[in-house]
Amino acid sequence: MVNARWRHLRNGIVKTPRGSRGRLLAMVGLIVPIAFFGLFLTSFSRIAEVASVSVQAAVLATFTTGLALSNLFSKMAAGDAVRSGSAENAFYLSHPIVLHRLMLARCLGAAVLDFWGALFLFPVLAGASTVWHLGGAGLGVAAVVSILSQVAILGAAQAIQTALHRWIAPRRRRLMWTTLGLTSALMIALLWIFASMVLRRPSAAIALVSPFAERILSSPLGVPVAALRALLQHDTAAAWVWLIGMSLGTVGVLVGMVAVGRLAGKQGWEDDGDAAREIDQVIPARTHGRVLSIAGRDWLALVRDRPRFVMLLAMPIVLVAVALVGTPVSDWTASDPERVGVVAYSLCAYLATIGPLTHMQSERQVFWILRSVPVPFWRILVQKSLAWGLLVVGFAVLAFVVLGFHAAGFAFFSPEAFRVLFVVVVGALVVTALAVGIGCDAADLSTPGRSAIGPGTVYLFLIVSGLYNLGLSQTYDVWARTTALFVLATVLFWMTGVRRAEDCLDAERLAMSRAAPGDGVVAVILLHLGVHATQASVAASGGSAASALMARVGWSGLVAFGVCAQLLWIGRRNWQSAFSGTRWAWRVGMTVLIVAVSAGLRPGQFAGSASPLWLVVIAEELVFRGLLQGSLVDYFSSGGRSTLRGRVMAGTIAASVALLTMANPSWEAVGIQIAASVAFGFSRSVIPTILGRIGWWLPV
Amino acid sequence: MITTQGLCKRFGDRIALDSLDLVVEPGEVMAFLGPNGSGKTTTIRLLMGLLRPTAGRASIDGLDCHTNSVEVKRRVGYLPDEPFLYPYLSGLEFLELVAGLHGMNGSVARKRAGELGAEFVGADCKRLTSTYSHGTKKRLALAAALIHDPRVLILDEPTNGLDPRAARDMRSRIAELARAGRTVFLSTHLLDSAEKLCHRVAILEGGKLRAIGTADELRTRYGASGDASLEELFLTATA
Repeated sequence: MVNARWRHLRNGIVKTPRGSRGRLLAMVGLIVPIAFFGLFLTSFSRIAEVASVSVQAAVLATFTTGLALSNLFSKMAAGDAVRSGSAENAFYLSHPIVLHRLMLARCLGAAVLDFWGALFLFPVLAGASTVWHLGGAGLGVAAVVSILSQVAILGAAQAIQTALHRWIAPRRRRLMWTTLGLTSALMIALLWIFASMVLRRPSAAIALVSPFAERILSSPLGVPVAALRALLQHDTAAAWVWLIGMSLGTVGVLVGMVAVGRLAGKQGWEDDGDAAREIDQVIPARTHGRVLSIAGRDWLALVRDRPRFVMLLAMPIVLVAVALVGTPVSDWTASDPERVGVVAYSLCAYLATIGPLTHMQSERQVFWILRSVPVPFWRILVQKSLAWGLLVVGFAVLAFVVLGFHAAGFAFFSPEAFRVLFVVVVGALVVTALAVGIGCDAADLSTPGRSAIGPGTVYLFLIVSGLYNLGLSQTYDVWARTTALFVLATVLFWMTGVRRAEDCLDAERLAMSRAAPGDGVVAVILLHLGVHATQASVAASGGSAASALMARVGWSGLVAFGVCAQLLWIGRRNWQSAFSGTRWAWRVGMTVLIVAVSAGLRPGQFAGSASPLWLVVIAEELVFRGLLQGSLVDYFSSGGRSTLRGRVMAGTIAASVALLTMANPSWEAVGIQIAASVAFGFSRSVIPTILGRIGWWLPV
Repeated sequence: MITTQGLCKRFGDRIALDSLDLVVEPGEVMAFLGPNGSGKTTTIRLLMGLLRPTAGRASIDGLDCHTNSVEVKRRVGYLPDEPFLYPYLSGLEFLELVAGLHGMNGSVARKRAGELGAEFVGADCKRLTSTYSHGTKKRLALAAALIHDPRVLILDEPTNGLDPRAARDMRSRIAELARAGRTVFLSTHLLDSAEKLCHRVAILEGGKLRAIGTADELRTRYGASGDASLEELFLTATA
């Protein structure tokens, strides 16, 4: 099993056509623990400066035990080990392999192959070891403790799953999985609260733990840190005793797991562990009312899949509770309706991430049904949005009310509160539509076994949905512009999603897909956020010319980097479109440049704007014209040829989007955007637009 | 009724379908034969608009399968090779949903769903589809393909995975539908099914059409004896 998994892992990273994604994930998987190590090191150092050794150890013990318990419950809730229908189980158990041997192999194999899983405690323990100056021995102990903990957790999780599956009746199993899932979510939430304290407000963590420090250390909670404590006290022998003790404990857990496996066997596995198959009910025929629609189907699927329904409701509710109990957010939202609105909207955006964004994942194998009926796909997406919108908007209102009750002095029946509630509800509706559109845009159903939605899509959604938050606590003008941009982004993703749905089953079309309006709007948002950040950093730099320049250079560089990364990713497919017709475009561009400079025109749109740097001009033209307008021209093309109507619509949208990102655009700015859009519309190249804008901008 | 002209489909370097020219006349039952990986399912997905052709075109009843896909779907009933269904809907609810998507109103949709559910699935139609066997799912999917009384049926491996009794039952239903005047285009690698059901066969291998015609025409073409089975003709054509 170890050999097979190693080869599978290696081939996934190195040998597949999309190996670069595997490498990227591997790199991210490496960077995150390193970042976490650094974060914990900083926080623990501050704890070490003010707290006694026993309190430090107690904080560490609570943290690591919380990590271990949340890991245990999440593994128990996953239930994969007992799904007899799962491919791996079916493969191994169809050979002369007994169940308990398979369970044992899984535990030991994971310790070897699941690198980041096996070392899940390592960043925390290594951080403490570094603060305590324990050197290589401390790091070694941290690694061993983490691996032993992981093996024990895997063993315990498999044993519990197998036992519950064997001795719990099929009809109760869904309740079992739901309970485990909720417990896992609660553990993660509690861990999050404590982790927030440790990482952001160490003094609060010290105050919480100090009264119970000795009790924590002498209880089982103190076991993961006992060996490190012994090293800190220069008692190597005691450290060895603790490590051997932990090893024996892990062996004990594995022995217990094997015993459970032998006793339980595979009895009960014949139901596949499939939640749907554990339902045995007769659904009465409907006799009246409207015909069952797609929205109705989505709702039925949601409420009948009770474990998923409960999780969908419970997870955001847990987050609301965390927001109330977690000190930083609680202080931040107190009595301010707009801030309450920000948190309420953020929570319903999170619900949208785990709900409607994943709608194509549930269509994975059944998408043929919607593709074989005579219904335009945009209508299908509308139905899906309605179904999910009910849940997301309902949750948004609930979150707003609960957070408002918690905030001291919050006036519920004030005009301000109603205004914010209205804004939150609008945001919830639009973010649902956005999730459905992005989910469709990103869906890849062409390859069996591959997830329809990847982590990149989740992050993309969070970036775009976060735009609404940007304006939520700002002036009306900023909110209106940001909301307009947010709605336009939703429309463009919707358009892209509908078009993309035609090709999501077609591997060939997916491989050759070109930049879409959705890609363009993401680049616009990145640029907009970068400019916004630049303005904020310039304002915060206190007027010093050098620091202001550094801020502008730094953020403009990030803006350009983000945009170029986007373009390079897309440029594999249609880089030429941004620079097509190069030779005569250069001629036109140089002509425009010379005319603009010779005419002695004054610098225009950058007066008072974020940055005078050339980089931003190039970035803006690449984004607004090259990417957004170019993809819109392609979108509105008919039979592969662009039409005048399509070019006009594309140019209008691109210019409108550019103006929406500007605060109080002057008539000059309007004219420049129109001229640039027209120039691009005719030339299909950004060269004349870049040279024209630089020529307009150059001081004379 | 069904026409393909130079229909091609590539997936990267792999040519799944190479210049397929095919005509299925109205009321005809045509079997699309070929080994696994020959391009049968790809062809069917191109006809249903699930895939976009790399080159060429496919049309049903004069309508392009890609650009007029909505209109095509009004006229076509489709049965996929693996009929995955919505696990949390009962068979009746699934049929009602499909009927509604074909434009039927509430009472008409429920009546039609009830009739087809009783005929094809029986008492199980009130249970969730996740509890159905493979054969029951196929029958339910066939019922869904017939809910709007289409003139064209496209069936991808309709007897695949069925036990002998269920396979015979499926074949007799298909024969009945063909006798009612529907155009049936079905893919299979089971030659005995094709021999019993179809007017003509088209043999595909490696994405290319190797032969097309009635069994007698193929016997003449390959110089086979009068009692040569379709299996022998197939093996000769793909040798």
